[in-house]
Amino acid sequence: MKHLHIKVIYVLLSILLVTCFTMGVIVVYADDLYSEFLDLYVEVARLAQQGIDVSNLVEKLKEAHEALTNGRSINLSIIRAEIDNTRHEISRIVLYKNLVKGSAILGLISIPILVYILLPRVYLYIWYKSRRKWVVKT
Amino acid sequence: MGGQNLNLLDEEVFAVIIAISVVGSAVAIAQILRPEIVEPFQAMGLLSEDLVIGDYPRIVYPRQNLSLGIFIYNHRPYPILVQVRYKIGNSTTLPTNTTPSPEPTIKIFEFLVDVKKNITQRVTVPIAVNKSANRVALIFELWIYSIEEREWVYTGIWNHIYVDVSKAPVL
Repeated sequence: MKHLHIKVIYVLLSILLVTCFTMGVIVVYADDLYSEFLDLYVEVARLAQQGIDVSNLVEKLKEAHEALTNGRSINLSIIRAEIDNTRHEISRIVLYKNLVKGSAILGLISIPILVYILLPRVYLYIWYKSRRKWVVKT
Repeated sequence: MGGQNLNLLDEEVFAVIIAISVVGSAVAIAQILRPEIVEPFQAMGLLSEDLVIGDYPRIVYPRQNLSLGIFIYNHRPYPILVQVRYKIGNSTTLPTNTTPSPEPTIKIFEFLVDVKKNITQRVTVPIAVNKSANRVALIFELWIYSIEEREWVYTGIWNHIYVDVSKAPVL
């Protein structure tokens, strides 16, 4: 009978130890995930500061944040991979944006020049065209 | 007509058209070169249960779970991660625009807000006061996760409402 009591106590202690260990691991795991989430957020914010459109990444981070808050399992490595991809393409994206901006500025600068050159010619052309059937009285 | 310039387009009219096109393109170029966000800021608003400004509860009872709304707007050039820290205090423990309230944080609400976007969310806050309290301030402080310092920083923005604590549950 005494042996049985000791066995029960051992079993209970083992269960307690396993539970504590597992809970500890879960707590550490959640903390690690949260700090990884913060790292990802900082990287996304830095990308946004460089003028990159990060709305897609923000949506994914929001989903991850909601999952973290509700204690659901999440896989941050997908977001990490997407951030890495975006980071590799920064120079191309920035170059493209600058080219678009430069082209727009050049186009706008050319408007007054084109008006100066073309307006009198176009006006003359229209003026003559509208009067080509006129007859001059002598 | 011989030897005389054929000046069909009036010179003054032509000059005015040129001036308009120069000014117009200069304004358009300035718009393109101007940074998208000139003065960055973030804002927080406290809303009622129906998510409108005003109509806040005036009487609460201890251990009640009070429903309110929180509005957050991000006008920074990057997404912001913010916390709204809920505290209960009084007129002497209100936050200032440089220091948060010394009262302990009772609940934290965390939001990720994209650039030039806002979030409006209903929240439930516990009225964690003892029965001897009469009039308390429900304080909501806005904290931001600083991407430079990598820690939570108080923004200097807060909202509070005063409520009377009833001894008996309000029906």
